[in-house]
Amino acid sequence: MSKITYQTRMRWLAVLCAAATIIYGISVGYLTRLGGPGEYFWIVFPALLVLSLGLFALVWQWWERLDDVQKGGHLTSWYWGGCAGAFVFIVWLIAAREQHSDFGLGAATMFGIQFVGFALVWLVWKVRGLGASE
Amino acid sequence: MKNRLREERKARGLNQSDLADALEISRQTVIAIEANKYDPSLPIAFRMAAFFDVPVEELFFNPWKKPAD
Repeated sequence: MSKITYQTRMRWLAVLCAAATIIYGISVGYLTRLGGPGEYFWIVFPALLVLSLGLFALVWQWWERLDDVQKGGHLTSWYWGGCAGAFVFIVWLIAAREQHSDFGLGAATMFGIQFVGFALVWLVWKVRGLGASE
Repeated sequence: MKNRLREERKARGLNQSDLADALEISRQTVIAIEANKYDPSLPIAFRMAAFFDVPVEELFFNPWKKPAD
């Protein structure tokens, strides 16, 4: 029997992650339509949390197996591409719509939360890298 | 970073896919390193050197090293 190669494993993991993301999206859509806003909060919130953590855990399996050059590519694209895209969108939003529209506030909140996430992970990275200073 | 990866791989009769699977890295990474488009991380460079059983500086040329007199 032929050995399953690294590239085949990675391809299948990527497909699995993509399929899980689609299922996650459908599940989130279904759960957020349960009752009125906040009506089933203590069912919907933990369920979404578990689903999100499950998806993160699965994607982490793919990420851990990626080689360093590919990881570098994804990190650079995510950071610079993601930030540039968000900036262009927010600038457009400010110019095209009222600054304090629901849409604009939602986008700004999302951008702010992403920044908080970035700062926390960067802090952990910084602390992990501490060594003896001589 | 200039390197001898393509030469070493071909000397062993491997294609890029074989090498990628042997080192558990992607084929795109092998292609990019061979073409001097991206530099490998230190762990990948050492893994490659160990695979070909050569010192790492024989595989990847150190651009900062002063030439011998």
